[in-house]
Amino acid sequence: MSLILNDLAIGYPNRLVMAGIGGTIGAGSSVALIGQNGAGKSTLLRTLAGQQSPVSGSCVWDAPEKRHRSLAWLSQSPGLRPDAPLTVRELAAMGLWARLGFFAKPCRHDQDKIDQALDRVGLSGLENQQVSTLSGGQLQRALFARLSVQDCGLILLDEPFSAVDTASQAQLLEVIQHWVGEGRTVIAAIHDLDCARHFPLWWELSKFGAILRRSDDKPLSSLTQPIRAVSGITHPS
Amino acid sequence: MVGVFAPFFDYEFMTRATLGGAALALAGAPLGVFLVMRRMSLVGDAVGHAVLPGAAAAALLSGGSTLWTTLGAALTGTMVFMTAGPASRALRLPEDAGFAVFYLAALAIGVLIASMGGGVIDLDRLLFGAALAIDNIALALACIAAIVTAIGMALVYRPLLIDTLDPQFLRASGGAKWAGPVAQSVFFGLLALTTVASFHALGALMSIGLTILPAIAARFWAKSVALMIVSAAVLGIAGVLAGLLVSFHLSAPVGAAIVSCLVGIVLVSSLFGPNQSLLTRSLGKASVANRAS
Repeated sequence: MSLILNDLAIGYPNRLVMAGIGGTIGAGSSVALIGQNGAGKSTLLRTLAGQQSPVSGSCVWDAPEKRHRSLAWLSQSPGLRPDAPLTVRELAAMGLWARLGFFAKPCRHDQDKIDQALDRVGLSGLENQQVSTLSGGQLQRALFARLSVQDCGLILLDEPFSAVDTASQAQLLEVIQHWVGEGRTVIAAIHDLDCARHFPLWWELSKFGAILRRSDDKPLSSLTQPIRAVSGITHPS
Repeated sequence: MVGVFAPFFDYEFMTRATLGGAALALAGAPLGVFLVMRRMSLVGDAVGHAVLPGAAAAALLSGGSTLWTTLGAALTGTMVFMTAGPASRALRLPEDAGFAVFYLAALAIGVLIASMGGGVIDLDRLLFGAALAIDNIALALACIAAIVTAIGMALVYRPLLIDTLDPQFLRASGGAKWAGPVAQSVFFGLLALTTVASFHALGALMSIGLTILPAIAARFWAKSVALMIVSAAVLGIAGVLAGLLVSFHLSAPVGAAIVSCLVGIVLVSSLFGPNQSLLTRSLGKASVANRAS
């Protein structure tokens, strides 16, 4: 199970952001995607999430087990309507959509999964509260519970801590640790370097290209090969 | 007291209007709740107005046949609805501006067509409806709209709800890619059907009233979407009954009476409803202040 990048170029039809990104990120990695504003963090995440197509090349999330084949993505600005008439539990249950589809009823196992997910983000007592009454930190934790329920092998997070307080951030970092412990791969765009130190791998975007390294500067493990491309930002001719 | 309600049983036209109105309220309830959640209340209104040119032209050509008027209304309503969005994008107009242009154009053209008949067409009836003169075809259409809407909404409920509340999640969560577009198409198709069905009773100007007003009021009675739909249906039927009675006893125009009663229901709900009304919010503030002191 790994994310395989093959000569990937990201950007828009008339603006190339970065080209020649290649390499492999192994299962169970937790990667902080760092770089200055405009370096292409969100563009890269959206491309990995399949929300925008690559300019050229490919990125493949290769999972042998079917249930880990899908990926989850949490964008920087939540798409959830702030006045959505949903309870916290209903929001978390939305994570079952890909598996249940139009009509299937959630089974006992699914209900347990929702309970565990809410427990892990510390929202157990607030299951029946309306999401419109949650604080920013609580809402982000509820969205993390939905990510847990989605049960995906690859989880992409765009600035997940930008609107949360320190306590919520600590709790969310624990959830990420737990996901990684379960063998999932997490890639999170993070602008705050102090926060990025909680992630063993750093994927740094700069004018020199996309470079994967360990945050403690030790050599990379054999499972995770260096992201080779250092071709940097290519300007359209 | 019983005497006030007697007209419903004494006069066939009142019974028919009640049945038709109740069916339209049932059809409108789930559609209105989703329209309000999608912040599209005014787009629904624009589509309602857009049925006029087709209805007027068909009435003119067919000599006022209900069936042809309905088909004409459906044709232009659907056309405006399908073209207003893409046309405003192509012309770089904000979407609401595009809808404004289209529905005003539709209204103006409709009135011009109707006036060409030289008094053959009852323009008042096209604009304001005739709930008390609802015929078999219009009544059947209302009942079909109620049944088809209930079935259609049940089929697409789950993806439509996610698409309404968090469209980004629906696109990115790995479920069927076609679910969102299919749910939207079914929803807007049902909306067109119900708008056309309402047109006979409430006319082009107010046809969306029975869909949108109960849904707005329902937000003050229920927290969950399912209960909002139930509340909207109940409030819609209550508005129809109240409007018919007011119209009967005061000899008021029936469409306007029903819509006025629905507006009254919205007002009362927003002031005194149990969920987020002015009253509960001020009580909430007072209890917080009490605890603080």
